[in-house]
Amino acid sequence: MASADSNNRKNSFKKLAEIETNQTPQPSPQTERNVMGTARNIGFFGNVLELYLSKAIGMLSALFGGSDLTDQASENIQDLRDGSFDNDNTIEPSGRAN
Amino acid sequence: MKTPSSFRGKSSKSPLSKKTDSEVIKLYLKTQRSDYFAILYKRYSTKVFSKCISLLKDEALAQDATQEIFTKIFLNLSKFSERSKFSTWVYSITYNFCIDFLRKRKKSKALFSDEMENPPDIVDDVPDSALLEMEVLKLKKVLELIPTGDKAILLMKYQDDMSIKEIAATLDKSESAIKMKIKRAKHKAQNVYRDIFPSNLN
Repeated sequence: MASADSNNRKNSFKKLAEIETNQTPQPSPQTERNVMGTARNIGFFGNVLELYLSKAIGMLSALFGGSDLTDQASENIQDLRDGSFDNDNTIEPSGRAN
Repeated sequence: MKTPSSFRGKSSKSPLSKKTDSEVIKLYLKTQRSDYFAILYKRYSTKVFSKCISLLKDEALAQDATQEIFTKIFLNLSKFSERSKFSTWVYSITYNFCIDFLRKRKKSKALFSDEMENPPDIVDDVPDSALLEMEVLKLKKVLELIPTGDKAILLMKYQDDMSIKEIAATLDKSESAIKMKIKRAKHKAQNVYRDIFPSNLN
């Protein structure tokens, strides 16, 4: 701190900055509202895109005839087709479901 | 949405007010909460506004400029690398914005001494001490009378301690071009000082 003070004493530019910053009023509350409004809006839309964009692309893909299923779902369907599915609800010889 | 406990009560003694810029930026990037950005705004808005008034010489323009500069800062926060201090990064965006703005507005006028049609030959280097030890009010007057680009480059170097490399990156010029601009700006400042304060020749 002491070295900063002595540095300021030798540097008129820094003294001038101090004086000007002290004399300058804060930017208007409207400026702050606009900046923070922009920050909130961009943050909100960023989150929306992050959360829903992949789903929206999947829906569009399905709409145009593609598959919107995940890899796991596709694998399960393939298993069903191959007849190698594993289902806990299979009927035991005793006649009771698991 | 929940409010982080450190924001409740808005006490100036809250732990957040003691966090460094770098810590606040990391928190913002991790949580994307605009409240963290508000802390950075509060820390720097007056300094940015003051620089904008000083360079643009118009308070209404400075308000708009401050808003645009902070929007830029917000949009580029994830690109901030800690190679320089956050304050240096903020000020470089401020200078860049103001110089660009003035260039667009005054298409025909040169912003720097070395862009004028017949830049003066420089024989001697002006020592740093000639400017650093100038009386504050006289320095203020001198800075008002030199071209805005010269003023900006002197402020970057002597007020904000930006390195030649940082100034070069801010103005998108080579380091040697920046050294020449600083030399000419110092020369211009000294000449103006001699013109307006002839009795104080040093």
